[in-house]
Amino acid sequence: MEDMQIIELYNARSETAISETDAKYGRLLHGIAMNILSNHWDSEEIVNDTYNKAWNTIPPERPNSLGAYLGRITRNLSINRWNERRAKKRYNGAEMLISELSDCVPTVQTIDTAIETKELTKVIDGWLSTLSSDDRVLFLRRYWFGEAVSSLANECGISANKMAGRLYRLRLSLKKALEKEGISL
Amino acid sequence: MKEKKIFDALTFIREEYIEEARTTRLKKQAMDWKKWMAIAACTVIVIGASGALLLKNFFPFGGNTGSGGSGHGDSSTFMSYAGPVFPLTLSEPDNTITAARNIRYDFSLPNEESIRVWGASVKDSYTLTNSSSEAKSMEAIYPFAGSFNGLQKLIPAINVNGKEVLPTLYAGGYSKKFTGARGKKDPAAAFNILQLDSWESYKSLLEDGGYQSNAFAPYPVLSQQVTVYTFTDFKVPAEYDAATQAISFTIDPAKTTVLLYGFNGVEIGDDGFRRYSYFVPNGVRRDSNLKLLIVIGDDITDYTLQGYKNGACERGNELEGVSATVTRQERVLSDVISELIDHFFDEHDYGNSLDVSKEMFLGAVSEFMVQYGLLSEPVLDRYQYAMMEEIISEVYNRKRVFYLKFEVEIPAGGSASVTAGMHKNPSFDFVCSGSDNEGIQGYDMVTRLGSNLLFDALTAELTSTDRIEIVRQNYGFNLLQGITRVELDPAEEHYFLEIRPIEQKRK
Repeated sequence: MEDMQIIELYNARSETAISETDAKYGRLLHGIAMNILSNHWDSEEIVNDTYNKAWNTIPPERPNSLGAYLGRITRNLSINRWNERRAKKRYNGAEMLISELSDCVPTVQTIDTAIETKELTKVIDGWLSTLSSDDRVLFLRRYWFGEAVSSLANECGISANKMAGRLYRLRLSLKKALEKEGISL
Repeated sequence: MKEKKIFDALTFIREEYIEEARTTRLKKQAMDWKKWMAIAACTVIVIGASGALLLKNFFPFGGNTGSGGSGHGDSSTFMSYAGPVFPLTLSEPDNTITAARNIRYDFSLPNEESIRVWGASVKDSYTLTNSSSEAKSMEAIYPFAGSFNGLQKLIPAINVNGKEVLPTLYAGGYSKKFTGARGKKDPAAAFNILQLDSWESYKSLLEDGGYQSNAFAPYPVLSQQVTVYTFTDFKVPAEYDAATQAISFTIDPAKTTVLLYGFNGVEIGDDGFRRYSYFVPNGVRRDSNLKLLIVIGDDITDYTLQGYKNGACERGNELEGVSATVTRQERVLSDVISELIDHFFDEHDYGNSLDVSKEMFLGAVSEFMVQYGLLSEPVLDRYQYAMMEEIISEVYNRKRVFYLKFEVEIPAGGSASVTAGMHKNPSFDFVCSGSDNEGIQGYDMVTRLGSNLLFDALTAELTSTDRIEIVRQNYGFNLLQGITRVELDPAEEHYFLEIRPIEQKRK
């Protein structure tokens, strides 16, 4: 079913909206949650919470890109859950993804106060726009969707080591962009 | 943990990037990196199977996102900014005409099924008084913020002396602002559009009056003869679902410009070498079946067609059995673009959503091409690949200011009333953004920007306020004390109102 039709089901308050959403996006959303949480049951719960959030927000919102809209909710809910669990030392999940991103942390020291998340997003958006479509897709499939390096390497037809190198270069590029902006984290 | 900040911040990147990553397969890297270095003179761009570069412009937040949350003045900067309500103006200034303005925001529920307020019904009313001894017949202009996408819902209804009039609609041009990849700190390049993401950005666009004057100027007509190469009758071995066909040739860039439609890949060599490629339609992929190559200026003299196993157009990756019939025609550019617009909207199921005449939209596309892309001098970085889908979609989706022009008669020593009624969408931050402003709706108005009227009174009022609470404002309303009508200072440039809906329990 097309996104527009699913959104119409939400607008009509038809509960079929949830089953249609699940049929089309359930796997994607579960994948996003799993890649952050590494826990099947928590991921399942997060996906259900995502549907609940979608039900409560559409309408009035009317996302044209339902996949991106739901994915963003899932990612955010998963990070919140990860934060809770990590505090209780329950599991690692996104630990690997986050540790890779330490390569991006600027080394510049500024007197600026730490940047807000949203300002940081804006700078990252700007950096992403400088990348080729292929590099941008690669970076986001690793660090937004949390896909494994080996599966990305397989898709590109290169070795995992080579893929790790390519990702490393992208992380350094982001670091450079953040430093250029004088970002202090 | 500093890196966690980056991980968290990624959640809120532009939606088109998420969609692009979700729907695009990575390019196969069949060629060794060092070999790539050997052909470093070539710039390569490949667009994903789903035409992600094109799709990026179709999302409601696409390119419209501000950083959100942080403020400017005492008001907030929202992730999605709806634009302010502008004041009425006259086509010619007249110091014998004064105006009293009242703006009313009504926060009724959108419909019976709604559980929360979304947007406001705005009535922006003016009493124009003529202090001279002669009757005045003048053209009034009412500006409003919007885009061609979803325009019908945004167009204000205009009443003059209580009677609805049918004004003429004019579209302002592009926001005119581009920056480099690092945003405002990199003004020299032109990869990014500087978004209209705050009332100040509209101020910078409108305050010198040039934008409005251009909006009323006739559109350019692209009457030049061009050569069009159309690709049809595609053949491809069934087992290759990303088989690609490339056409390559060499041009003198000073004498030839090439526009594309339906293509996915571009290679631009410094020596005039060009290779354009598309995934061959196989009835499964969702790519466009219409593939056009439009040559402006000197025609291409010699070209080569070659099939490849996938989007990597390189030695060793060739594929036999890929073919298409190429037809050459000489045509007028505006006719070709007109057909592309039709195809574009049919292809994306937006057939009924062009809320203006085809001529107007074609004019806007033509204007855009002359000013910023493909036919401009120099071509902006953002449009260097000359993909017509991107141009059409940019023109369709990007924010601009529209103008409604209509006649008003004001008797000597008398007055006339003008009212603009509209549904105003709110500015807001995304669900789950974690922003302090999540769930808050922002409504801006400007008092003088773009107007030559002399305002001697300005008031504002709120109605149907039982389902909202005010979070921030500079009007002076106080719902608890029942203060829902206030006098404003016409000298204050900007008023803002930020509300939080109070959710109703479902019956």
